[in-house]
Amino acid sequence: MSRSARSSFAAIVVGLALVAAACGGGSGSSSAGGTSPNGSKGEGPPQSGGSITYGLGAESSNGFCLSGANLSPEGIQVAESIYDTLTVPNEKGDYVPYLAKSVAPSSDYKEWVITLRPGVLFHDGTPFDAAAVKLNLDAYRHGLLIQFAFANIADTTVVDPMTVKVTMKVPWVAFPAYLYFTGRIGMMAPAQINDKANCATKMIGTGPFTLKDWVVNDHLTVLKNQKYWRPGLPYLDQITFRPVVDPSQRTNGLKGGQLNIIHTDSALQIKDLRDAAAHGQLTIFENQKGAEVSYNMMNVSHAPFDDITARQAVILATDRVELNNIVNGGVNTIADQPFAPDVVGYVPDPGYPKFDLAAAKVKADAYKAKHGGQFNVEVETTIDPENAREAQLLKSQWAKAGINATIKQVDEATLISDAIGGGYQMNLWRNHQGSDPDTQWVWWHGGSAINFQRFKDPAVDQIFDIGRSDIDPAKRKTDYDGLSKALNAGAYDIWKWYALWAIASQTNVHGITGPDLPDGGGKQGLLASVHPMVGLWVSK
Amino acid sequence: MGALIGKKVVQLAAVLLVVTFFSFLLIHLLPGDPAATIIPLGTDAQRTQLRKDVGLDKPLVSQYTRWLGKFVRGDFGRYYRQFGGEPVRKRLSQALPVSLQLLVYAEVLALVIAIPLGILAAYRAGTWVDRFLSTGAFASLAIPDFVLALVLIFYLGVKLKWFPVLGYVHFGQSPTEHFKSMFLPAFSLALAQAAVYMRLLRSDMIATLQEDYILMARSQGLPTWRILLRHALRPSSFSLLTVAGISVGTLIGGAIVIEAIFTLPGVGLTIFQAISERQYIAVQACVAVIGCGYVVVNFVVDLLYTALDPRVRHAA
Repeated sequence: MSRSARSSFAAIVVGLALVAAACGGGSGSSSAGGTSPNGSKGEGPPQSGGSITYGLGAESSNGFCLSGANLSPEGIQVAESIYDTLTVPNEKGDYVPYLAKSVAPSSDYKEWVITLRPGVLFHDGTPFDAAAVKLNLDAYRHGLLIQFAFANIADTTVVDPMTVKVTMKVPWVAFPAYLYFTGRIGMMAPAQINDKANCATKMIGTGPFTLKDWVVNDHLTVLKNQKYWRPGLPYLDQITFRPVVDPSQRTNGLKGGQLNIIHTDSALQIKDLRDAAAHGQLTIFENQKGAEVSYNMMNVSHAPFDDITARQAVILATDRVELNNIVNGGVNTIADQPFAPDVVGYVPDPGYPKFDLAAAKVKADAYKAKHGGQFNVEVETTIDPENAREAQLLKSQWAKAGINATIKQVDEATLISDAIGGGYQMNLWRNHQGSDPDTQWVWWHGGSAINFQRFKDPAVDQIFDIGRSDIDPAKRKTDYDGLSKALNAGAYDIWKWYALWAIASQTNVHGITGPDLPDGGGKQGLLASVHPMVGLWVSK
Repeated sequence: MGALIGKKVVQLAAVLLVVTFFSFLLIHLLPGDPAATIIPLGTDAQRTQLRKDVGLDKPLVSQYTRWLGKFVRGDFGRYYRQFGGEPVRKRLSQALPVSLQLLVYAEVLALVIAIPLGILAAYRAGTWVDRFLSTGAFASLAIPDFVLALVLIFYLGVKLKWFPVLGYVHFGQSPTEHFKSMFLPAFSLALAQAAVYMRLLRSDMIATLQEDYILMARSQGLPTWRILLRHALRPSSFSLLTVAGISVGTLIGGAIVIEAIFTLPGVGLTIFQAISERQYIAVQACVAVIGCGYVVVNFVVDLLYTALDPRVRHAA
């Protein structure tokens, strides 16, 4: 969704949660990468003790009852400290067991058996067992948040105290990716799930930190889990998360010393932070692996975008280079498709048309000829000034092609509500993070209730259906090669650029990329904004 | 005097009724169904609960009296979040002291800056000192408080690291850190006010210094500082006192932005966050509290003015 629109949640429609989910990230994997691999080599041995204050871009005001929460990247960052997931991506982009000991499919991928790691306790001292996992998975299946994503699950069964069997409706190869879902599928203690009144605020997980206190819109403090199942971890005694909404003030707080670590997706702040890092004032880690894409989403069920000519006209009339230079200072990478270069489904030439004003005018005129000489577009965006500036620029670009645009500014919840209800023509959106294209099924498949663009494209559906159940890993990777081309042939979106996230810290904060995974195989793969909290440490 | 106070109390009560009524109306000014606006994506059960809490199904006057009754008892409603939400009263009770501290510090800072400079400018009226101070005052007035805040953050917080750029430290936790955390926000609010006060005091004091009794004091050989502070300042401070009271409203308006910039957990930041989260019940309560506070402060100033100036008493 739009730059700032990534956190609200609908109670009436579960899809809203998935919007938020996808806006923070869908699912996928990437290796830890960035301009400065903080937390890996050259930092010396980790030191235990100390506390840090983490500046977040937003408050998770709807709480942390994960099955129904609408976690933005900020919320996921907090969840990373309190909860563990059954799987995590590794640096190769594969999903490997984490809290699970193994996650194994049947030969036809219609059944998955999850075997649990022994000796793990929830923060309240209760054991992490198969009954707890079943309770969690059922909560996600029936809760507000992930139900669309988990719609392919037919049943969950406790096989023995440490084993759970999950039966699928159709073979599902990408299931381990869904067990992570960008850190959203944390395992909650039964005591938290069953306490409906306090589920959102009394967080009990198995993670490296336990909840100390949470004052909404002020701070959330977590303490070291003294009985964490990973020996020697975590290093920090305490983390205090503070929501500091304004990106520049978050940067100032870091530079001024009130914050020890922050994250940001503001291109202008990233430029500033890069400069400070170059002068040795702080450390910056940037990640664009599995990145979300910023785009203009068109609703094909409403005029004018029910006509492909109109969609093609606005695509051709959009000068994305100029847009990126003005809006992002040229920091972000232009996207021609929804998938980042490291993601399955990315193809070098997805057939996205280049900016061509003359061709745009021809298309606009053709549309006008068919529709009484009018070509009016309403673009919906949030009240965020950066989004408003972008919308104004788009309006001026389209005006050169004879397209008359009006800008409708709404609050974030309304933007999402309109997307769900279909009451929009076009909006500024951001989504589709992740490495496995199957996790995008809910957004583009014609059978999905939360295909916000309301298209039913047989070519797109066929690609998703084949990819979901293709048990040949090598072939499956190529199954999605045609997806971006199919989307671009339908001219459903104006792709703009990949989101860039930076995590900046004081120079004495280390371990941002986390320790090695418990079963070997390198570190956890990082997805855009989300990084593990378990390995953070401060040098004295 | 008693009759005068009684009359003013009646006026106060009337104004408070008007203020609370318009604050109450805020919810009804929302487009469409207030419940749907406040909880656009909630369940029917949540919306029904909100309508029940607010009494939206009752006649407007009945709603107001019900709301006012709760308001007077300190029941300001609650936040409507997915997981319920805390009472607004709880948030306000935490936020109000922070805002009051900010306003008091800003007011004190403004007066501390304005009074000596105003006296000096009046005493040196027409000289380069006066012109310099007047020019400085106009420059201060021209700088919006949020711009000044950003400049102060950059130089004193980020570059020199003398003051924290965000957050709040409770006085009991560390008095030194408390004042450090409050200085930049308070100074950002105070400077423009100080300019106004200084100009006001200067002009009043110039007039006072031309009074016969000042000439008499000079002829008696009283030291200048005594004439200025004991004989000229008090009669010159009526306008200053009145404006200082009225300017509480200006400070409150500025505090919303300043608290948001410095992430100070006061009423301003509470309103800012509540607007962002569509927590209009909380916004309504904050507006009503601020409105009532503003009216009461002006009432107190009015009484002080009466006490200070015998002419007002006699006229009454």
